[in-house]
Amino acid sequence: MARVKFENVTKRFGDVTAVGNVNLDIADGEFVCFVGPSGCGKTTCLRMVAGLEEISDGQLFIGEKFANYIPSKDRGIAMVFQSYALFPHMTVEANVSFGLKIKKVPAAERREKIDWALELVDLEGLGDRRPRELSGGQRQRVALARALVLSPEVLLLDEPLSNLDAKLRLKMRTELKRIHKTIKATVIYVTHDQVEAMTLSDRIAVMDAGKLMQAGHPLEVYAHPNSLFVAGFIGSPPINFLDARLEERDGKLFVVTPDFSLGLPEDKAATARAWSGGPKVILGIRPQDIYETAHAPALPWTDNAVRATVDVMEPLGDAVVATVIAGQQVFQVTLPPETEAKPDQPVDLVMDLDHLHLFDPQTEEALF
Amino acid sequence: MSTAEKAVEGRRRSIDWGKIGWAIMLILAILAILLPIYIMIKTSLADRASIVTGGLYPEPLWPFAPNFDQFGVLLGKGDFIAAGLTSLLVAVLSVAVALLLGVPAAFTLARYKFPGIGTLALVIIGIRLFPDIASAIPVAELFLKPPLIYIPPLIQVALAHALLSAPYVVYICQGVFATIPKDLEEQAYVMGASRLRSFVSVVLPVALPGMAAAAIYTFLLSWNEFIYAYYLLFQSTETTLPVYMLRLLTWTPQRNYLAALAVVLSLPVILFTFLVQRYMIAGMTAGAVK
Repeated sequence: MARVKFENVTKRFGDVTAVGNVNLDIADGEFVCFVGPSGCGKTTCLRMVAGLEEISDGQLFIGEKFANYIPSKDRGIAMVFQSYALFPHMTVEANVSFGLKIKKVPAAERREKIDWALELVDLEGLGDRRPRELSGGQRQRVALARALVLSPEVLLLDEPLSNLDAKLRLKMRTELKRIHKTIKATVIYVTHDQVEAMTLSDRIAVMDAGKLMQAGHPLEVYAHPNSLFVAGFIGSPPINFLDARLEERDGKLFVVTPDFSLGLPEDKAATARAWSGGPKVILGIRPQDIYETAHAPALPWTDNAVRATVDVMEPLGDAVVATVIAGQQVFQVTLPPETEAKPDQPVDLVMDLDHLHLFDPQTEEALF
Repeated sequence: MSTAEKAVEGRRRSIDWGKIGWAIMLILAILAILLPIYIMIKTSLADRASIVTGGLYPEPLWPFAPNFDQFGVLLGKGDFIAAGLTSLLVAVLSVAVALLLGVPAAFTLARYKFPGIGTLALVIIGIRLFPDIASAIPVAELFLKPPLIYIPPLIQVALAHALLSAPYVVYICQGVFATIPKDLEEQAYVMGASRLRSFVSVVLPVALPGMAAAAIYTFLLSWNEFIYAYYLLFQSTETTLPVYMLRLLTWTPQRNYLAALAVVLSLPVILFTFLVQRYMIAGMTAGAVK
């Protein structure tokens, strides 16, 4: 196990800055997911830790050592590529033992380690097969075993589940969590799937266009996104964004859209008043934080009701995602499966103002 | 008449001149290719009466008394066997040299980027645009001066053949290496393999089919090659099969004997090609499709 520290790490390809000034301190044994849209720089960060890309600026520390110039094999890392990179002409066993042979591990110890690794990933008895004789899930597990057998301090995974079908992906997610508990290595995991990132990681690092937008515990990032991008990227179905303005009415601060107004609770109002921008603001509220008045839990606010018409309803089984229209405003609401709302019918909604978010339209930063 | 009406008219007349034209050309092409082979085979099996007509009767389409006698004579001759073994030796040697030179070059072209690499690749392949006859004398001259003159003649021929086939080896192997994902080498690198080990243990085994295609081409080129072998073996007693055939011609042997030699010369090539054509096609398309 080793900690990994990014200090102002930057990577440039010619004129393009793929990764700009990333600062992140990953603790020993932590499972961190780098998540973001395609091209955001998450794989480049991973490759810099692996030693496959030179670091243009900044310092990388693995363990307590300054690692920028240490060759890959001396960094105590193991990597699983998105394509698995299994050696096609070698058997499963030969693949898994490749790294051990290079490190000149004696045959008996190799045997022990290979058996342990294959058992850990549930591939016992398949040692003589070749990659082309294996299913996608099995190949992925061989790639994993090949990395684990080296007992790495830091395990690097580049979108390891993206080539698997949905059901297998769910199964492997659980497997990965179980394996992490067993081996206790520091894990850096790259994915574009925010659900994967949320469920697997101790901490999530959200990236966009080469910048680290926010890093923190998944629930923390979900509940308190620091920017428009993070709020919009994390959470499914995605957060609703509406253009609004701040208005003082009789000593109370309201967030006003052309079609409805919401009265801010005092603590939030204080933050909003202290903000130097405005009055234009972007309102963010998650579909899960809007309720039908009839089915709402007891909410302590007034001035949070909205009347809207249901447009489309998408049943998910445990909930229904309804797209509703209130005048000019279109947004989504998650309703319980027993809801009586119907398309083209009006519905009375209340918003949970504790989970309301406001964003500065210029800087895209969150006020709260 | 509109186009549609004209087409219908044409169909009604049911003579497709276009198709007939193509069919005629196809037949002519097949004849042009098969006719010499047919003549070669028939002559090799011919008895004396079938080839020495004295103008009294037309040559028969098939010999009156076909026999394998000429083949027997040929295979009984020691210098023919010697020439065959020499051809084999030279071919194998040229494959070795061509691969030794071409494969690392192809790998470099496929994996690295530096200014001028595109031009370099073009120059290497452009060597083959130069007609062999034109380059035969300068190349022979090179080999007839020190220091190259000290190389044994057969090795000189092998080197010359390798020179001819190396560009093709580079071209085909470059394509093969380009299709091998870099992931494999990166994975090996992260695990601690040196570049050489990663190349030998991971890349080469995967590239083997493509390399086999290149090797086969080199072998066949060397086996059939006449011009360079002729000039370089001018003063030598050793010969390769094509040169042996020429030397035979200087004392005008019987046509059936010559034809038998031609058949024996071509048979290994035809057989070999049939056996390995799968690999050649696979190797060529491996280079073409990326």
